[in-house]
Amino acid sequence: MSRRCVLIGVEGNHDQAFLCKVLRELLGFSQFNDDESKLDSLWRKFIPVYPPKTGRLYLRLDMPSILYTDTLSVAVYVGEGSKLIDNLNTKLADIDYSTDLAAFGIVVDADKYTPPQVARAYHDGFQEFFPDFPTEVGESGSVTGNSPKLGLYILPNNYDQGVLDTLLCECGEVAYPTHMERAKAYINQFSSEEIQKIGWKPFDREKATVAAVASILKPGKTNTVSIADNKWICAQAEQQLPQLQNLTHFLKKLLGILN
Amino acid sequence: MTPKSLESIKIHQFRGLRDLELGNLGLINLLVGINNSGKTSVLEAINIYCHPLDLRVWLGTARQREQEAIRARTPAIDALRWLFSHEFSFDKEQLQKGNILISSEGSFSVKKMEATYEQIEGIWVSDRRNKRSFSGEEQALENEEIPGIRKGLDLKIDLFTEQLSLLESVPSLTESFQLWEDEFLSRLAGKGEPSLRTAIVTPSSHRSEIGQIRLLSEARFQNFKSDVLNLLQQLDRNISDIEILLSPETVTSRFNIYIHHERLGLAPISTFGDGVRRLLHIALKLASVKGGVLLIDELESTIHTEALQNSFSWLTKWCKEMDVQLLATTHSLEAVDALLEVTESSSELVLYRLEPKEMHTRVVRHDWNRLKRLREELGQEVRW
Repeated sequence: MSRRCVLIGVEGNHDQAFLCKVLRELLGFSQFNDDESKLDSLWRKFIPVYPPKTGRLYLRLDMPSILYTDTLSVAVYVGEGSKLIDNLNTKLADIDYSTDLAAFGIVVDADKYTPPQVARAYHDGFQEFFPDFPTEVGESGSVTGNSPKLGLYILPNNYDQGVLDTLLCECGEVAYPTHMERAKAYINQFSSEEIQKIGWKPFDREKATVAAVASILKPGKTNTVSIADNKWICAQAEQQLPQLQNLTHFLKKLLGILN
Repeated sequence: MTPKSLESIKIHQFRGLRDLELGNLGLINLLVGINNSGKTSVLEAINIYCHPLDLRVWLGTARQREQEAIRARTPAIDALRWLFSHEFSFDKEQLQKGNILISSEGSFSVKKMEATYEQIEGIWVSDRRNKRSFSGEEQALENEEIPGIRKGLDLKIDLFTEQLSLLESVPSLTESFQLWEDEFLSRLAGKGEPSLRTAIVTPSSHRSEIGQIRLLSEARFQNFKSDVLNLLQQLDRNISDIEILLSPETVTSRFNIYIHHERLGLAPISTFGDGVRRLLHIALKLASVKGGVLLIDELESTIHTEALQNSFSWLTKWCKEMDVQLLATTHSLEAVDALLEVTESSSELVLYRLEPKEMHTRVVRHDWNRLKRLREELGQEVRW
């Protein structure tokens, strides 16, 4: 039986690890780790085939993370930050998106702009392929269209400016309250002069807090490993955090699995 | 900007192709797709469309795929029939009629060609049969003409040209031909005009020397002979000249193409590898279609990976210089990447991927800009 394919774009590797964890931990998906020949044919096109290395010896091209259930196959694609719209448009131009995709979604943060501004930018960016892409988001993001369904969710909560780490800090308060307390105490030892000298940008405090806890939970590993392997995202966090419930509600709606 | 001979082409019906459109054609146009997606058929359709009334081109194109199987060739009438689209039906009647419909935009005077055939049968007196002797009761017939039944085609070709745009349903020109099996169809030349210069290069056509000497000796070749030498030197640095000579050993007056080689001396072209022979063949064909269209099946065939980029750089330069549009099929991602390296604008390189669907052939078009992003920034597979 062929699965319905859903493409979700995110800006960075942390977002990808987070979304994959949500899909696995809270929505019952499995990570695809099998032979290439068993991959849904649409995603086989996403396996990078390196171009000539002329002048780009260190170029590294990513494969989307593929997760699946019996009926669904989801690719979580990282679009290199600000290039996400361009990269996805280029990829959409190469597939039969109107028939091959059951849904197309974007999960991004609102670090530089407000959620309404972010929504407008993505709506405008996908005009060529999806004129009905959402123009605004509610507390559970927004899902429009029918075939394919089109969805947008803006972290941390579709309302405030912030980043993934804003939401992860809240998840950490549920899963690792002591670690979070100690990490914040450690970070608070740095004076505002010191922080200014280091050159923190908005929301770097949250990022540093998550990184500090992650380095305790997974010494020597990256945040993505900790997000994937530890319990930042868990049923308990979902029960206690409306923001996480809103995200899972959005995904269920996008994936067509809402009761 | 001067319009291209073919700005776009739509193959409504031809062989197994249905409603396949190549829009916004560029200078170099690559056709990719899985096996049996219709890439070679597109080249064949264009070749016939550009010589719509020339029956030699029709027959030559119909038999293009059988170049190396002269003894086992499909009969000419059947080969022609298979150029046409047939409605799928178990009714035998349906297979006795067929259609070809192709239309285009651009400076070529023909805008639409519609061809139909009907299978016919006729009474025919065979010389061979006439001489056959019979025994017994049939003896009386020995010297009589015994008629047989032979099959043929009624071929009707309607052309719509730019001169008659007011009445789109009325063709500007209609030609009918009656073709019979066992006739020498090449005698039925048809008409050379209207036409757009085209040449087809197949994966094996470089092995046939027919026509190559004439091409080489034509004055226009002299204009770019030194560049052709540069091209061949991409494969073998010891090649220093090309000449047409009469072999000292031959008793006939048959000329041959010879290559001056620093280590081998003067050697006939046939002693060189396929790479050298095919590149020379492509160069000669290119020169023969100035202002027209060059059609290459399996562009990368016989050319070593390391020589692709320089060879394609040469090809692009001379397509521009001679105002030749190139349509080429390929299965090679290395060929796609090499062409991306040597071209530099959205109209210089266009890739069309053919995707056969139930009722038509879907075409995915990528111009140079998008193709470059797909390949060089995203590493995307673009051949299927």
